[in-house]
Amino acid sequence: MLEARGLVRTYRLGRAEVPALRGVDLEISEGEFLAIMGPSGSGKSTLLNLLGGLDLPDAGVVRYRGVELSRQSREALAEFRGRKVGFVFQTFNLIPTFSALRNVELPLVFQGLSRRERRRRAEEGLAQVGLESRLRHRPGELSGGEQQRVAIARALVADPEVLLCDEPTGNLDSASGAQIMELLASLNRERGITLVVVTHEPEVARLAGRRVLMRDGRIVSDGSGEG
Amino acid sequence: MLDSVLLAFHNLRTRPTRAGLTILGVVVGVAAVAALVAIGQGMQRSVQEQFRAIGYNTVVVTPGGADAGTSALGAAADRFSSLPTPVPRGGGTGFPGAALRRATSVPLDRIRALPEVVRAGVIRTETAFVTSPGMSGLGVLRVTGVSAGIFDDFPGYFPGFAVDQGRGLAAGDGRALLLGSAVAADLGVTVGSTVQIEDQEFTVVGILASTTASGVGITYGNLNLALFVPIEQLSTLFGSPERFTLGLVEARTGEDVERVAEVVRTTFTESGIPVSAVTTRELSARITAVLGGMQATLTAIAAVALLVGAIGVMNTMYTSVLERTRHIGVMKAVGAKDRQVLGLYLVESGLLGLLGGGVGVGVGAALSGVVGASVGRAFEASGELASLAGTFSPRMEAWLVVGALAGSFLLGAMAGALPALRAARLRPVEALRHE
Repeated sequence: MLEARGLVRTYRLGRAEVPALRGVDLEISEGEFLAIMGPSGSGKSTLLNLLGGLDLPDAGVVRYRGVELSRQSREALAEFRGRKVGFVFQTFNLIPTFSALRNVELPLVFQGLSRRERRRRAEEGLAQVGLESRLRHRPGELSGGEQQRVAIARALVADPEVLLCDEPTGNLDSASGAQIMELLASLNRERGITLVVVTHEPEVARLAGRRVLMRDGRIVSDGSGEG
Repeated sequence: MLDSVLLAFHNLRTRPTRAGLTILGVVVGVAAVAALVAIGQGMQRSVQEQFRAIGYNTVVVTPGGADAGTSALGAAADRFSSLPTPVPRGGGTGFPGAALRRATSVPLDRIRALPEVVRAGVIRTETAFVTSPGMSGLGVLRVTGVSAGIFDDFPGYFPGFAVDQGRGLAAGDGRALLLGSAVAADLGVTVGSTVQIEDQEFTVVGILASTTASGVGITYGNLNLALFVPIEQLSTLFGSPERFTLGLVEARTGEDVERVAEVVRTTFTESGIPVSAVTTRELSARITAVLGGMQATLTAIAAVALLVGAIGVMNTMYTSVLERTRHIGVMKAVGAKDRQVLGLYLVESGLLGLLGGGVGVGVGAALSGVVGASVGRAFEASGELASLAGTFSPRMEAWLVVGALAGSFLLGAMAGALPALRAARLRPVEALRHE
């Protein structure tokens, strides 16, 4: 469903060129639970951003159901991000001045849905992550685990096919981290949503059906076996 | 759209002090412009109303007129500003050299006899030594000679004119004097008293009611300070019967007023008096044009404040874009299109402008009221220019309010255009990485 071919991405920091990806090939099937692992700086997040259309590669292609993302207009790319994928970030990236409900509503605002419809779906989404009693709370009034659940509800509200998670438990204590991973895994299990999780925590990766290990901008191992 | 507005409101509320100060910047500019336009509109309106009162089928005759057009405009502009130009004693306001060749007099009877003319009147203003038994010393005052019946024939030229005591001037009056209430009090005279003007004694036949009415283009000054005598008496006092300050000729209904003006001009010229004769419609248009020019200049100056306000909006929007870069990244990650982000920021900056415009119009209305009133009072107190006092009644027309609101929204949106464009163009991954 999602396919990467020969991805190269280099960042320029002043004069220095920092290669983040040096040629990555990856194929992700529908319904898969994939963990991308590796030390920091290995290019995991860069790969995730390219897969979700948040960034474009310097070379190589990302295809979503055969459609090459680099060839899409900015508008079509926004559409893709809004409807086909959901992002979950390590730092939650919630709008601090919005209530949980409005944060979850946000993707639907850009789809032009009616207020009533948005509200209904956002409330539903927050109920699914167990936050039906926290609708009016702002992110600052919620625990880290709760904030991440709001973010997950936001990622799911537009009913995407793929959930791309960048260190979703990185800012959480182990108990709430485990809860979040359980939630994500159940989405994959029960709703068949394709799940890609970037992590460096082995216990998170253990839940995944497939583990990809990266080092220095390349994939060094890819398999379903332990370790 | 509604969502953008709500979101924009939300964003403004999160930084109330900054939004408030930015709005204040817009308020100052909009208020200044709105107040000036309102005052200017009030002046133009009052000029037009006054000319309408005089009647649009009236021809205004002024002395001079080698080039009728420019001198009439000059005369009109002079009279509008009513600067206290010292009138040479006994010199009249006639142009020097006018009709020196032939000793003649204003051809009022010939004008009145023209078939296309209904009525005509003439005014001559001189400055004279005036004294009375009830007054120590003597004053230098403006004395206005009028042709018989002019107050009844051209009431529009004498707004607020009403005889309070005694009677008005009548045809065949000799050295009769009709004066304003304030000057009567100053001179300490009542009906029947005598007043000495230059070396002649005049009898007070009437005193006018005190009035606050005023207008543009009035040669006799403030009605409360006016001294009216039959115009023939001024010829006796100062000679030069061909001199006059202003003539008014009403064309018969249905006549082409332009053509009547031409006939009047010719009649004067044949009497050896070069004049310009202009229809009130044209005079009104010219004065309105002069006022319009003044207003445009003042407004342009005030618009600098508006520009500063706009720069304030731009500054605030740049700051918010910078501050909310991460949020923009989030919005793009969840599917916001470039134009949606652009729209959001345009609405937000437009809203800053609109709020500033709304308050600004209100402040401008209050300001123009205060300024109009105090300038009016200052003119009234000045005596000499009191005839202008009433022209400073500002008018905040509906189109001005609507225009100011729409304009300030547009101004805000335009000021926010560059920051908004920057926000819209941000690459999501870079925006998300922003600290």
